[in-house]
Amino acid sequence: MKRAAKGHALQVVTANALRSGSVVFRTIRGDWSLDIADAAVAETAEAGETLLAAATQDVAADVVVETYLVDVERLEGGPRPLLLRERIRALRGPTITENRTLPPASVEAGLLKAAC
Amino acid sequence: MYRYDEFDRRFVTGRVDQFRDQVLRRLSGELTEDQFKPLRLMNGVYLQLHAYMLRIAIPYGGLNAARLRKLADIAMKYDRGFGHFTTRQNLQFHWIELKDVPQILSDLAEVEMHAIQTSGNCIRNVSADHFAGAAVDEIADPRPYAEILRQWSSLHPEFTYLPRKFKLAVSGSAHDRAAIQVHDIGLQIVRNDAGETGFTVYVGGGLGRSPFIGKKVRDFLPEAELLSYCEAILRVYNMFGRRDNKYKARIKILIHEAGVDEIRRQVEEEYEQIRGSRLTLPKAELDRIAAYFAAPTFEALPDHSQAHEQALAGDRAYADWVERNVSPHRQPGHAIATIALKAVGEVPGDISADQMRVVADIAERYGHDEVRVSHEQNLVLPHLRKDDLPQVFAILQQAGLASPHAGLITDIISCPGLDYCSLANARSIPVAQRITERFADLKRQRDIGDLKLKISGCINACGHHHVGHIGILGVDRKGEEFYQITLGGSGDENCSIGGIVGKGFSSDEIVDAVEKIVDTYIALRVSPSESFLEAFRRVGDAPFREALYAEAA
Repeated sequence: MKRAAKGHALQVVTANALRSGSVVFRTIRGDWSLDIADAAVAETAEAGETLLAAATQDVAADVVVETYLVDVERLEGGPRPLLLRERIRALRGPTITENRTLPPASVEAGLLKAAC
Repeated sequence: MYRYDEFDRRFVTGRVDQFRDQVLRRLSGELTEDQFKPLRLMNGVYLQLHAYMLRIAIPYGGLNAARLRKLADIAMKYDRGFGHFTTRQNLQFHWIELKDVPQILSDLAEVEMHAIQTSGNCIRNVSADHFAGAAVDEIADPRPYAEILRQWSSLHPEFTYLPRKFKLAVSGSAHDRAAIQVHDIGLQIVRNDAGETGFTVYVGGGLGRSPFIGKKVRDFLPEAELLSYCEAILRVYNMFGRRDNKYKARIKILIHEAGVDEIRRQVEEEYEQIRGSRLTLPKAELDRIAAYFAAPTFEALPDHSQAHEQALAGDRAYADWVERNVSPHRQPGHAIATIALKAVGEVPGDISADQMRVVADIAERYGHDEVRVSHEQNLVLPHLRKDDLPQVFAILQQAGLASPHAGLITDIISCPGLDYCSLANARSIPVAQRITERFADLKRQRDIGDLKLKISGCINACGHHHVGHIGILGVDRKGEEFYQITLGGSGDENCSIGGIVGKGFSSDEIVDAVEKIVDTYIALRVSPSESFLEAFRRVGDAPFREALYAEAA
């Protein structure tokens, strides 16, 4: 479940891009990045609220939807969400390999031809 | 298969044009997100964890080659080359961009498909037995009735804003393969003593956070009264269903709170007002719709097939597949084949675009151009000649689609879970994959026998865990994924809701726990012919509880 971050020291702002639906993070430049490593990190609750308020203007501007704060910790590679849900969002995809079942292109043509 | 008439075509293309305009207005900022969200949901577009998801309606699970190829084209052009079949016999694309949706809907309309009423508080896609028209135990084909219900419920002005979503299912056989008793309305086709066709009607079944088995409200409803009676049920629900709390808004809660006798009384009262009026189905109209679902022209064949028998004797892999994935057909010399979309380590219900095309080719060449989606997230080729089965198997095998485990422990229903879904609390797919890997040995699976294992990543229960013989529910416990196990559920004619066996298990523990349950069953069954569910119903959960928790006690 999505949970509103409550007063955690380190927070970033996330949203989904309106056009593509992609997960995006608010950057220090005031735009949006697909990579959480680019996210602006608010170090206090007040800074978090300020960051969220600025980011939410882009909802009104029809750039993103559903802005909210995410609790993070700071690791070497950049911010890492504390909640699994947000870690998975930050991965830009599922934790499993998608579409492993893709058969070689020859199958369709080859076998069906052989059958016909 | 039902074919659109001029009205259907105009209606669907009109809807596509309307949504194209709405998307344009949203992208230009003319519509706000609050204004747009209900509109996109009415067209099957959800915003999920990573992207927009498009849910496409497949009425009663019916596909043909043209539709499958179109879905494959869309998967390649607008998604990541695959699709996901759901427990409502629908298909979901996980990676759709909003700007592309109008064109996708336009492409779908070319093959008489759409995404209308795949979301929202309306009557959803009507589901039915995936063996319809082929099953040996069928009393009557459920699809004509499902189609009539689809037409009646599509944009029904009175039922577009119900208290909550509403799901119907129809079964035409005594053996319920459509899980009708866990639907808002479940319809079981029956014949009365006079030989007339009608329905036993169940109301108020459902899963989710408050699971209920449907209550029987009618033993025999004459077929002509199908719509009158369903309309009466919907009217009572629409009037009295709770709108103050979305968790208590389904008809199952209304029935639970008011009592089935009171609801039946109200429905019958409403029905008395409606019956005999415009909703009574004329015989001619019933026949007209039924004609769309007339059986294909089957070849007159002996039931014995030399090619099939030879392959059975000479090819072990083929024999294994036939044993689990091939079911008897009502027409001699024919068979039904199930394509299980859960090979070891795969994602339950997922299929690549290339695989869709392979299935389309097989259906066209060998299967009277019919494919079904089952609520168990598999595909079905309902009309194959036994003579062709070895060749069909070989093609499926090459395409990675011949996993011989239909109905076995690895034929798992799983929702997308926290890997994709914004409602989920825990991941489902990786658990399903690890279970298929643990039980990969086919000999062992076959020794275990019929076992339905179902996984949901949250209490909304899209993975039907409540009716799994073994059900797994993912929960969030202090930020960690935990999994509760329920035992003894069943979604067939002997429907039961599984009971929680005890405290949950961590992600690391859950597969071991499933194995312990299975080993306990193997040790206590009377004989290999006593299925897991039969054994559980005989002994209860005590032995399983003991096996799972003895060390902790």
